[in-house]
Amino acid sequence: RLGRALSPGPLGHLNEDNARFLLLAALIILYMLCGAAVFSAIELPTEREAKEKWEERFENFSQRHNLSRAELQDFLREYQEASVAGIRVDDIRPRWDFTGAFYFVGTVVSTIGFGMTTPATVGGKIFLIFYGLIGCAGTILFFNLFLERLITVIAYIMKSCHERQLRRKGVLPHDSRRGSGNSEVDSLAGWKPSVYYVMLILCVASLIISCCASAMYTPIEGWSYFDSLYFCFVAFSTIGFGDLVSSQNAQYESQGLYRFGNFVFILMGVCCIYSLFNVISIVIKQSINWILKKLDCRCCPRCQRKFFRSRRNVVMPGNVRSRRNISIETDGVNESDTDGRRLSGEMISMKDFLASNKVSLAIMQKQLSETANGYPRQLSSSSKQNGFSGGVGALAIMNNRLAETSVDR
Amino acid sequence: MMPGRRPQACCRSSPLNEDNGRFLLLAALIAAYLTAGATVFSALESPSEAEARRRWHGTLHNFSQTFNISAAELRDFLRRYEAAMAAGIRADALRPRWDFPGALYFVGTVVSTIGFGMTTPATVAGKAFLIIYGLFGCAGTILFFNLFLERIISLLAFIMKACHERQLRRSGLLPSNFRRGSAISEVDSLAGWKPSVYHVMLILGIFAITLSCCASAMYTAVEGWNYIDSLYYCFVTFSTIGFGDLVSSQNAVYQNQGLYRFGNFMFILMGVCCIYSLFNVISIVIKQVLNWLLKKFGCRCCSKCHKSSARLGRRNAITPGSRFHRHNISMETDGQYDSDTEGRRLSGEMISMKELTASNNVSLAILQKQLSETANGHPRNISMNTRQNGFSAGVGALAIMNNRLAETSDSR
Repeated sequence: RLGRALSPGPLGHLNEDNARFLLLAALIILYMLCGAAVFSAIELPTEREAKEKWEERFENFSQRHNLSRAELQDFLREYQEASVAGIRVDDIRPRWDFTGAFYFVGTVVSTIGFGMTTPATVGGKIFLIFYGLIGCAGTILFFNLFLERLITVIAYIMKSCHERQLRRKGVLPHDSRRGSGNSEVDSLAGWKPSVYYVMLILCVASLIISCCASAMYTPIEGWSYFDSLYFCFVAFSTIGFGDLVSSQNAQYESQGLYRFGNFVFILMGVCCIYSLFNVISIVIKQSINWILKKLDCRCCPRCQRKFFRSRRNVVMPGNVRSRRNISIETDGVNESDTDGRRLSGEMISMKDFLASNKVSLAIMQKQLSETANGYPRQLSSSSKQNGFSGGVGALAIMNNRLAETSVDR
Repeated sequence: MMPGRRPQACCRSSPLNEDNGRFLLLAALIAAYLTAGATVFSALESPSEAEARRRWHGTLHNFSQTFNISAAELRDFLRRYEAAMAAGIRADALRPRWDFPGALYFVGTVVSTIGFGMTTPATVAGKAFLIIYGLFGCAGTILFFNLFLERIISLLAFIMKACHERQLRRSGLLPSNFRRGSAISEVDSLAGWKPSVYHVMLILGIFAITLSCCASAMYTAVEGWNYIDSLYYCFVTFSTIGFGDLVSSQNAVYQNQGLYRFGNFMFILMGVCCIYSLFNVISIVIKQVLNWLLKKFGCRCCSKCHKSSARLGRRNAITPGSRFHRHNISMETDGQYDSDTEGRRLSGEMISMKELTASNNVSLAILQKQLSETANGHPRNISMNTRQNGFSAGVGALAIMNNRLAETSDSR
């Protein structure tokens, strides 16, 4: 039983990746059911009230002006159509002048999709499909690159702080040159920021951006501060209901400045919240892994003690046979494994094996030469040596850069 | 000029890190794309906007005249109606917004970030709860889509590899009676074979089109939209844009209502997963285009780089005399250069003595394992080869595909 990824139990012989996927699907469905119940309880009374109030008003109006229900309803239907075409009672800015169209394509490629502007012609709709296909893909790439840059900057800053801390505590000799002392490398080798720190930093950044943006929207749009915060969340998460949309009035004071500020805030906000979502999803993934582990161990009490040794692909005598069900793709995703150990379990061809020997020699050669030259970035590169492409989606950016996702704890 | 100088370092005194260069180039391209798109949409849609406005003023005027109601009073009434519309009320009765199925539909639009807007919280408590709920719900659903992307790429890679093997076997390159895992020659010819991103894109594209056509057929029949409108709705929904101008399953009553609602849910779920995967695969292609553009810019500034860039321009390739220029390379960059031979990237990394000894142990362990596995005929040794040398790299969901597609793992 040693070394088997999942012992038979409620999950049967399910491959771990598939189990994780299905468990997540089940949890999300449960989450949605609970959310629906809560929202229903909160909002249903208000909906009934709004309906009653409207009925009353409708009746009053039709009676006062001696209109039949049907006539009034017809009129309202026409207004509804006009509304979809972007017309409102009070004048709003034109929808399809250049700036309006720019706002529109912005909501398309970012997938926010407020809906205050939508194509009405057939040509527009067809063009939208092709335009959106490339635009959304490019913008997803942009957000992913932003996430990568952000994590890099945060990791670098935190590492410098960590170094300074270590140096002050005297763990490192003051005058040691970076790259010369083995001990310094040892104590800093493999140090990476924790996902919780990064999550905290992103949360704080998102809060600051949201609060500043709301402070801008409240006086200019006339919304309450809370409504502005709500708008910020809905826009930055790319949900984009469209019940509140900024910069829709025909005229503003300092219009150019406001529109620019609107653009910048939405851009930064979406980037931050997107990164925050991805970092939170690492935490969620860890929770799921933990749940799977618990479910697994509960079925197989003997696993409890031996679990650490029974990591997939650890080279152990006698566990060869149980390797059959492990898909290699699994390996890439189990990002809490020690990368080094993962490496040791992989099958390679003779060709790759010889190549990796050459690699070892080359590494040594380079180290000797670089040490002589004091290459400044020796420290952080050591930790990326052993990882390999794994992780899921944007998570992979963080796969080898955060403490929780690279080191065996 | 010394060989091995990075192409971009040639002509600028402060060479831009390649990752930052790529990021900024992408930002510039997207800005240009937005501007071009705005121009086209403006040209397509302005006439019909003017037309709709004219028509509405006509209707308003007529109504005001016919029934002898002042325009101001009508406007007032319409303003109230606008507020009612925001609360979900329409001229014709719609399904209730906040009964349990309605709330479930709403919650679905929230966590998937589609956000139609046909149902939105009106109370303060609802809005506050939405923010907290959405934070974790969207994160979890992003994880779900990413896991789906990973699963589907694995599946496609597996199927395509099996077809490729069968092809090789039939064309006689492999003896048809050997056991997997025993012959080195088989490993050599299949080692490192991975599906091309273009094949995967094609397959996903076909799947997406099929799904959209089927869904549109359903919506056309049940909702009464025309087919193009249904296709448009499918795209807007599956890409999670979610305008809300067209929303399915909003009428108060349908025939076979339960079946339709279930079909609606399934189509939207599969569609979003599929289009999300398609977007991510397309973004790999876009990233390659960016890399190509950067290379071209780099080489244009420095004509001598042209020949040597293929050999020496790769970051961290060990070359004599290239030490000097290594200063500006952040190692985080290394992770992004996913078209590098991973072996070469590996060889350029600095490691400590501890890591060196560890990797020696690793080599021994690998050999030991190979010998033991070969004896047991482990079925999957082929695809494992190629993952040996990679490391976590790539961007976002791209990383899933980083080592699984031909364009993102071999040096070509």
